[in-house]
Amino acid sequence: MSPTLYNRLPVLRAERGLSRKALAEAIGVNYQTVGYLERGDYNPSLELALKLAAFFELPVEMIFSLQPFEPLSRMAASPKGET
Amino acid sequence: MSFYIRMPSGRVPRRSRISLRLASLTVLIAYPAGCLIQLIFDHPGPGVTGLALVLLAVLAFFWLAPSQVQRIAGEQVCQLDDVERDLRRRAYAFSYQVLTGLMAAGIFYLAVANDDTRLTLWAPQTYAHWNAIFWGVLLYSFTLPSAWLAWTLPAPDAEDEAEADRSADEPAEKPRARWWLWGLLASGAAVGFVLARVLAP
Repeated sequence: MSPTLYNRLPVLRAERGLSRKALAEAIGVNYQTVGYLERGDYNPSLELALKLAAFFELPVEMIFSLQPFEPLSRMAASPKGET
Repeated sequence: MSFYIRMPSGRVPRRSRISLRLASLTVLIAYPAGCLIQLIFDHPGPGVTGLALVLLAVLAFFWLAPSQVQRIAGEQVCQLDDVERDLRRRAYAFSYQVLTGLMAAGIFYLAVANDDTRLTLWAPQTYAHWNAIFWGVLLYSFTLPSAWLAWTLPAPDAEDEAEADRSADEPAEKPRARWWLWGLLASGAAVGFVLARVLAP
């Protein structure tokens, strides 16, 4: 059983106003695969994670994490320098 | 071993999860049930019922053959993405376990049926018996991976459904003819025909 991999894909996709299909075409996968990844049904391979990181121009650990991501509202509420 | 029937339009027909599960169960249950009924009952009535069950299993298989689960199980690897390849690997691993279990049980049964004279166990003897077993094994090897996928794939969410609706209106890329495959089939058939003519007494 692989560990749950948390991700920020829905937020990043919404930020850029992309549909699942547009993101899927950009990284060369089926649109259902993007849905599986977003819901955490399946973990991406290293290759796919790197493709996503390159597409969003972010480090991989900003997109995927073994720990749940802190909600943006809490991050925004915390004083500067504390995340 | 598996294969995938591409639709002439190039689209993958949408099948609901329930219908995929029902179709895979029908193939896996109706075929052996139909064969057993034909074997046990010698009368035309049950014989026709058995034949109808076998036909139902074959129809269910051809309904399943162009589906999204059969695409994962049988499409060329280069056409699948990362997650789909992983799903195929898991589906094949499951099918391998089930098929080897069935094979081991079947061979053990045949060994007992042929060896122990105190028991009057049935064993396949005629060409029809072996023919039914051959097609059964083939049907199981084609269907088990898709059955596993149909029963384990998570349900698509609303956004996936909406995306599928939008994709249905877009023109699909038509599949290219795989001439090498047709060539292989034709040459296989020709070699089989020649061998049959040469080897026939």
